[in-house]
Amino acid sequence: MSSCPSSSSSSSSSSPSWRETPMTSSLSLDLVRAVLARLPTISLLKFRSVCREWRDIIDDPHFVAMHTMSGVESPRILLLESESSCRAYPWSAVDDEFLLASLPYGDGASCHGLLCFEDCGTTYLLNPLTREFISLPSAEPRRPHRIGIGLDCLTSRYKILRVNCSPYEKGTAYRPISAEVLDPGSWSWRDIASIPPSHLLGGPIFAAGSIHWSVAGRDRIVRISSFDVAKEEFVPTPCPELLDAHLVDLWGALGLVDRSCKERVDVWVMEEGGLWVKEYSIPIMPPPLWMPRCWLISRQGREFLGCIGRKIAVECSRRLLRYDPATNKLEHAGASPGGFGGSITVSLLSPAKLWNADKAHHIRKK
Amino acid sequence: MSSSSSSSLPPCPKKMITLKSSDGETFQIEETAALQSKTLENMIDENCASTPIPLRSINGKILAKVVEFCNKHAEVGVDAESLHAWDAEFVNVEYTTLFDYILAANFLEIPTLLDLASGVVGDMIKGKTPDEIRKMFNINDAFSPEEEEEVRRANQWAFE
Repeated sequence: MSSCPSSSSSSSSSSPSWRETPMTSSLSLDLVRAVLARLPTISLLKFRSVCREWRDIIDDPHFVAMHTMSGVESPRILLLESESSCRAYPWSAVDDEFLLASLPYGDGASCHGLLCFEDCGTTYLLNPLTREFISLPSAEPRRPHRIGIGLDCLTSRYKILRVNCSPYEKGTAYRPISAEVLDPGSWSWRDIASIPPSHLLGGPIFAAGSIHWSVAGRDRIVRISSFDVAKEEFVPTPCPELLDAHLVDLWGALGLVDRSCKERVDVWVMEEGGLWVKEYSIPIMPPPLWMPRCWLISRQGREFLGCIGRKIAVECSRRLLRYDPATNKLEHAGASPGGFGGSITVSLLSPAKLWNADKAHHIRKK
Repeated sequence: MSSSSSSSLPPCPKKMITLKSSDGETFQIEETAALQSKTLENMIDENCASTPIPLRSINGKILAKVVEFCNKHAEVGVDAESLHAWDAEFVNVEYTTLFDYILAANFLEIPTLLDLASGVVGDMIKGKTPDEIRKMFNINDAFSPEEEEEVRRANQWAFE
C-alpha cells in the first residue's frame, strides 16, 4: 500500500498535540475500506448513509466484487413464494436466516446474490437484497429452456447461459438443441458451440467456476453436466452413484443430497480436484411419516433447504430442523416456513452496473 | 521469501535493531521479530537498520504495543489457541487505540496486526447506527438533505 497514513492524519498539523491525543482517529479511506471489507452485507447497506465517502466506497463496483468474493457473507435460505407471477408486483424481504421473495417458482439460477429467472417470456436479473433488477433481452421466442448464471474466474465477469430445448411434442423427451451466452454489458445473446448431452433438470448450482445441473438419464441415478463458464463448454462431472439425489450449494461448494435412507440425510461434497466426500450425515429423528420417493418432489425443496449461517437446514414433515456440523446436533426450529428453498448469499452487486443498463428498476419491499 | 536469508546464518547471536518513536522513545527489537513488518524488512535488506529507525507517525505508547505484538508472534512453540487468546486480550482496548494499531500496522506493513485490528473494529461497528459511526470516525460532512433522502430510500429496510 503506497499511501502513508502519517501524511494524511493529524500528526503533522499541530506539533504538541501528539502527547495527549495520540494520532488517532481519522483512518485514511484505504483503511476504512479495509475495515468495511469485513462487514456483512446488511451492515454495508446501512452504512451507505454515513457520509459521501463511505457511500462511494460501498457503491464502488470493485469493492463490491471484492467483498462478494471474500466469503464474509454467510448463506441464507431463499424462499420463493409465487403469487400469480405476471400480475402481482414482486417483492422481497430479508432477515438473518431467510430471504423471502415473491418470484415465480422453478427454474431460476443464482450466483453471488444475483438471481436470474424468467417470467412470462422475459428474463430478469435481480438482486433480492437491494431489490434492484433489470430485464434482459429476450432470447428466442418462448420455448422450453434452462437458464444459469456464473462467474468467469479468468475475467471476473458474470455470464448468463441459456440452453434451449426442442419444442414439446407428445411422447418425446426434451432435448437440448442450442446454447447461448449473454455477456455482461452486452444486450445480445451469443451462440456457443457446446450443448449438454441430455435434458438439464431443475435449477443449477454455481460452484468451482462451473454451473452444474443434474441431467436426465434412463435410470434414477444422478448424473451431473457442468458448464465451465470460462471455457464455455459442457463437461460431465463424475459423482457417486446415488438414486434420486439432488444438487445443493454448500457454502460455495457443490453438494449432493442423498435421501434414500428414511432415518437420515447424507450430504456429499465435491472437494477440490473433483473428489467426493460424504461430509455430513444428518439423523432425522423421529423419521418422517411419509417420504417422497420421486426425485421431482424432493427437488421442490421439501426436505433439504440448504445452509443458514454455519448450519444446515432440513425440512421434514413440515418441521424445520437445523443441523450444526460443528457439534453434530440437530435442533427443532418450529414449523417450516414453506416455499421453495435453496441456499443463497446476499451481496451488493448491482445488476444495472454489471450490465451497463440505463435504467434500474426496483421491486417492492414486503 | 527473503526470510530465508536470516535463517541461513544459524550460530549468529541475536541481532537487534532500534526503533525510535515520534516522541523520542527508543525500542529494541530482535531482527527476526521485526521481519514481520515489510517496511522494516526492506530497511534491513537495504542495510538501513544499523542506526535507530525513526518512526515519526507512531508514538511511544503505541510503538511499545506493536513491538510487544511482534515479539509474541515471533515466539516459537506457541500453540494457535493460546496465541488466539493472547491476541484477543491484546485488542481488548478502546477503539481509538485500535485505530492507532491499524495506522501503525499499515505504516509498518504488518498484515497480521492490520487484519486483527481491522477485524475487531469491524465487529465493533457492524451493529452501530450511522450516527454512532459518524461520532466514532469523526465524520462531519453529512449528506445534503436530497442525498440523504436518496440513500434512505435506497436502503430503507437496513434502518429497521
